Amino acid sequence: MAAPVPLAWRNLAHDRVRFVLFAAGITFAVVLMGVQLGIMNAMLDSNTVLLDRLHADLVLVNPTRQSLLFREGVNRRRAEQARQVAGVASVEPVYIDYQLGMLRHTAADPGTRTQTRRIRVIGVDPDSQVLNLPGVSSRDWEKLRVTGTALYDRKSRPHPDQTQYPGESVFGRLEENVQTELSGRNITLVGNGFDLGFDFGTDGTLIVSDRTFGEWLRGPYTPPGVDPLADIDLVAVRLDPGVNVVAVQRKLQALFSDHRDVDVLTRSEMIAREKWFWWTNTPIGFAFGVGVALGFVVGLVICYQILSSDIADHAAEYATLKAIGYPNRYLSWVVMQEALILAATGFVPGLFVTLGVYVLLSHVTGLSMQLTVPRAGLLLVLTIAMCVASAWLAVGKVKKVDPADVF
Amino acid sequence: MTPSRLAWSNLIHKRSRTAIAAGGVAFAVALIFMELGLLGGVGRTATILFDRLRFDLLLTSAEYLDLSRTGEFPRSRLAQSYAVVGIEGAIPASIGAGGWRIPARSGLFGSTPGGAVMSINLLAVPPDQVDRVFIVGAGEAFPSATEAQASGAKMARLDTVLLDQFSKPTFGTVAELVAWSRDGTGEPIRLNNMRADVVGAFAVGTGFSWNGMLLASEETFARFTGRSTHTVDFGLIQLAAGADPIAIQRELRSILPPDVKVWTRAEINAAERRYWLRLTSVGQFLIVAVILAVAVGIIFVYQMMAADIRNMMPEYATVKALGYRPGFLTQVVLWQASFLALLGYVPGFIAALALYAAARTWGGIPTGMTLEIAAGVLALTLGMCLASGLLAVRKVHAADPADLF
Repeated sequence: MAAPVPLAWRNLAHDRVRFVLFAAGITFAVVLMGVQLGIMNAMLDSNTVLLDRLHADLVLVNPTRQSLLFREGVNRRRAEQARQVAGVASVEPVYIDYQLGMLRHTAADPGTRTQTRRIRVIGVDPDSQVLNLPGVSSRDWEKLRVTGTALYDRKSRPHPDQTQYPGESVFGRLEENVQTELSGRNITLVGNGFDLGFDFGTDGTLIVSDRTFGEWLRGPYTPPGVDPLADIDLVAVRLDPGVNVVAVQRKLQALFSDHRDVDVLTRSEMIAREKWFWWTNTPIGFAFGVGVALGFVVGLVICYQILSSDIADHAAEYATLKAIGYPNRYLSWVVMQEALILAATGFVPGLFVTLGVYVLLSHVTGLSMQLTVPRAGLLLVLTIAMCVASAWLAVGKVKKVDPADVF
Repeated sequence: MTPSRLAWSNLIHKRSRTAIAAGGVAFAVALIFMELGLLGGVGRTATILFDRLRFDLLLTSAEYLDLSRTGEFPRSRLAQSYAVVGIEGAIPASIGAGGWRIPARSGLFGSTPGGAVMSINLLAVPPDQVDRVFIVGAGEAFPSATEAQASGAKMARLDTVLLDQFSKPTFGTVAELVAWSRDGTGEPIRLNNMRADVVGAFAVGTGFSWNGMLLASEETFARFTGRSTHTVDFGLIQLAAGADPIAIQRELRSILPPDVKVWTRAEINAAERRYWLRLTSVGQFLIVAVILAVAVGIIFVYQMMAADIRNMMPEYATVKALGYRPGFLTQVVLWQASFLALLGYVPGFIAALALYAAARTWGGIPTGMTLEIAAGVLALTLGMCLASGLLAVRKVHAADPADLF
């Protein structure tokens, strides 16, 4: 039976003040879920910024290296083999080390440079364009060809005391021409810096040429006569334009299947694997997942309370409708519509408040919080599920309304 | 009839409504408890290890930041410490991390394939002094000194380790792993791609910083982490009975070179708490989550209270029509608010205990109910219920008996 009036809307909107209060209740539940989800994603995202910036269609990585944090590499011969495969345009080695890079404090007075601190060091061929870093010009990459120079991360973990040390990172001031030591040897910072940021594994990053990487980091731990760059941490494979990525991936996997010492992954698979490691190895998922779940339950109870008190308030009206001959199905649909209206009116401001909180938190903590379309979609689905579930619980009451009781 | 009796009768009379309102308050209470518990767990992440160790003063590198970035100092600083009168022991300890290859095994839900690598912490101490490194007793790392000595003797053999029985379940149970190592059944356990044997257990717990802990001799530690045995991370300084820790701390500072720091237990715990709560992202974010939970909780409790009082309006109007004074009504509403607060707090508290246990078991987060948290949330709940009761009371005073009949 078609409704002559939008009953659900009128029921809610006739008392404007209460309607706003109701919507605010849902809004808060949305914000609670949104912020907790955002925090969880931000913490996981921070660990894959480097992989996001990698200019590669496929990567080769050691199967036992579940996270970039570990040390196992891919033998250089495997990279050479990959180069022979049809469809592969280029194969570039990327060296990454989390353990061996110790950066001495960058204070101007060498006498006060007492502190050293572990820093992630990435070694690449300066001409390879394997890293897609917007802040770094081709002239900066050229400067990197001189051994003993490094590009630096402007978003390294900030010094905790920003009032006394404004703009300083935990490593000291990072800017062009600063000289200090990396793992005991002289290093000069060049260029204008790039933005990668800190994560669970590191407080910041230096990018050096592959030669510097070999001499400064791996050399001291490599026996004489062995190439310190023989083990590659991550092999970035770029394909010819128009080539089917999955087909080449299969071909490479078949090529290495006998040795089982190389995993061939697409970039998004590699990102998923890295996130999975941090998801399972830290309590982040639990800590903030619980927040999402509790936000959901709280929103569900709020919505249920709103709907059931609406049904109680309008019992006479619902009974009249029933007496006129409207079926239970229609009344249930009205309650369901009210739930959907509440979901919509709570979600839209909730999304804006969530965005505002993201901007604020990104600013305060230095971790970027991103509200992508799929994440906003997930939040919308959670909100609708929350309201529909509470409507489903409240519908029983409207079915019980008996016209005979009212008159 | 007294106001409290009337308020109680009101609540008893409309049981299902009262249950909904109290249930709502309980959810808000549980939410606030949970976030506070998680925040407390972050603060306890590092002290969970220090609480198990025996020391009056702690030596660390001057570059010490937190447990995962301790920095190292020369072992000779420990020998130098003995020069100070009143120091009975200066025991070395080091901490590092390794990759533990999860072996394939059959469990409740079928067999899980091996191969995944989880990070695990490795703690190194002299095997012959295990009973002096850890506090022993019920609920401590080892139940007794003899037990500690026996376990120490077992792990004195190269490439053997003890597993923290509170490590994440993914690593496997101690009994299972010990049997594998002893009988050679199952896949060999691999740590940093080297074979290791689990020979026993100790008890510490997990936090935000590690998933599990292994205890090894210093030689084993050096082999697995590639670290030199000439440097250590911690010096556990134990004093003779009656010695003044502050005076000895001052003396140690004056005789030792500036490459080490000397901490009292309170100082290192405070530094770790500060580091985790203020300087790590997870601490900062959880503070935000607590603020958010309190805000949502407040609004939520208000909605619940306001709805409950609105539902009671006919009863209040009747009381008014009978000639009771406004002050009496106010008291009734406030009593009702307090009762609802308590009715919501108790199940919320119980739910929080269950959530804390779940967080400890599955989340590996050292949550715990403290008196401060329990009392703080109780005060917050009462305050919120009374405040929303006071807001709602104005409506009660405006209620006109004539409208009802």
